[in-house]
Amino acid sequence: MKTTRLLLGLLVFAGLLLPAGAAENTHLRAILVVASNDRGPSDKRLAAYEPTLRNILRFESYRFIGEGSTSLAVPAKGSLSLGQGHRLEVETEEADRRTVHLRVSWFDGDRVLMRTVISQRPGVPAVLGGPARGNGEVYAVIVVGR
Amino acid sequence: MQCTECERLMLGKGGVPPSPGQAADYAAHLADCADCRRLHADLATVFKTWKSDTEQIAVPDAVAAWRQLRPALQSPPARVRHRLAPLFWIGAPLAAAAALALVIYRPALPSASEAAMPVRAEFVEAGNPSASTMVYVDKASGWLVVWAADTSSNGKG
Repeated sequence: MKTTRLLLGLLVFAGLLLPAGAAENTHLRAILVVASNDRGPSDKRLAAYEPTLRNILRFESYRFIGEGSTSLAVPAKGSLSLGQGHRLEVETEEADRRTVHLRVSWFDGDRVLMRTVISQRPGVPAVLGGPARGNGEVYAVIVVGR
Repeated sequence: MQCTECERLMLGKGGVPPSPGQAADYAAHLADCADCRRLHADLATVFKTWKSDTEQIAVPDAVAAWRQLRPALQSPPARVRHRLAPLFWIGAPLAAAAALALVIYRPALPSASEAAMPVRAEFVEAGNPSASTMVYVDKASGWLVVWAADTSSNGKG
């Protein structure tokens, strides 16, 4: 009987702690890709995203350039280095189980490529893109928040 | 000795055994009094019958009976075990925890307003002032697309 009460107490305690802990941090992952109208090989690192990228952006191929990830408190600021001088400066404004609110600034070196404030569902990517790279290629960043 | 006194001694009233003097008077009175002698004879018959009856009753050996009874008294009574008891003691805490988890982690059912616009871009500013921006949510995947197309690029297909 004591064991049962202890077990029940631990479950209640864990149940109270977990949601509080989950709401305090947002894990962010960002992947820099180059989208091209030329056909090219698929990159395994983009396997989970490429079919959807093809459907919504209509480019022929996508190359993986780099990625960064971080875990931020809410609210908090952080930076993700994506490769080739690109980085995202991110500020978490709010996060719950339904939505992740982010203020994002995308830089190429010191040059600002985009500033935006987005609300996305946890685990459902957002794609920021459009800056030209040359030769008909454009940069895009896949942002996934949890 | 009077008959009442003789009868009192005969029945043992008072709880005090007769003194030797009283016993002698008693015996003398019985010899002289036919009524008391008849009562004495009746009582003697009653006692004789009672004694013979009690001798025929088999009284159990109290020591042997106690030896048999004592172990039974010392061993605890067998507990009635219910087949569903373990299920209850495991299931009850789990059910309580599940109910608690349901309250805490209840599925996030979006309200009508939340379902309408949980995914959005509130603000977009392209680094290139000549870029045209657009925002949309792909219905099939739910992905949010924030695009700032440079007019110099070949852009999307």
